Amino acid sequence: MKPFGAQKGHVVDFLFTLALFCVFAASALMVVVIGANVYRQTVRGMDSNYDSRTSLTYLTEKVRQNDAANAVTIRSVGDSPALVLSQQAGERTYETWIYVYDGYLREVFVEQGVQVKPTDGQPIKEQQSFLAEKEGSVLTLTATGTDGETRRATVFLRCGE
Amino acid sequence: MAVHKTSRSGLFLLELMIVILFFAVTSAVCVNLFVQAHLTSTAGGELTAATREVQSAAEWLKAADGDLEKLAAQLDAKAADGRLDLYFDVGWNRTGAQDAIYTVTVLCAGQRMVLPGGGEITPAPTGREDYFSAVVAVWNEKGEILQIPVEKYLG
Repeated sequence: MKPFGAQKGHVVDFLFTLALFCVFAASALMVVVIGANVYRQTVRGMDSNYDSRTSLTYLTEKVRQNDAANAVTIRSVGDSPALVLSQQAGERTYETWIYVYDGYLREVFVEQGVQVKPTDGQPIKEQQSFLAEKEGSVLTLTATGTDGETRRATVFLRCGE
Repeated sequence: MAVHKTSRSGLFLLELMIVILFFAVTSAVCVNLFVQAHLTSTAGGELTAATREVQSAAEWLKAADGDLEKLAAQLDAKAADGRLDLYFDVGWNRTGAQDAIYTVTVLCAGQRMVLPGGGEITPAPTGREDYFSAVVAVWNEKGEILQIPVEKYLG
């Protein structure tokens, strides 16, 4: 027959080992959870940066490429405001219409005078909404991304209004 | 029999402690990497937003032909001593000086500004009447995030 103290010691040993194992398991789980959270935040940040950069940078570059006298105008396609960039090619004038329809930033290149329908545009990027405002020679572009965040960029039209 | 049980338990305990030690070292490295990744991601987002605001301020400044008073009127801000500050909260929305986390500063050539982190911004004068030069910088309590030079021929 084993002494009582020895038997108790074994139970404590077992419990300690079990507790240690539980601590190990909990710590492993915690590290995984922290890792998942960090990854989620990083992905969200990257998506936000992508949303923030892409559409506004694209629009800004488009405007700069077509920065000529009276080449940048704001019109509408259906219910959506549209940025219209005109350019001369030979004796003809062509227009690039950029607008948001059905959750996408769209672009269509047409000859001046052609009626543009909302479905004509080629989808470029998912976008909730887009707004362009012109104040003198300053064009303000406001874009709301898929994350619901609204971002604004300003472009100074060097060739005037 | 009792000796056999003690031996198995002790061996398992020893194995477990070695595993936990190894786990502790690797998890410390992992958590450190997670923190670094988070800080890098935050800094990346901050830089993206800072770039957008600085570029916008620079475009407005060019549109105003470098006239800070005109710029202040357009952006609903105050200009003094060749300097104009725009204040932003943590979400990069315009706010007052009291609640500002980020500040976009337009500093004309010839002026000097000391940043919280110890650095300073000193746009060099162009020495020409027909040439405007300034620096647009964004900074927070830790110091400068980004600065870009702005120049425009006024002739």
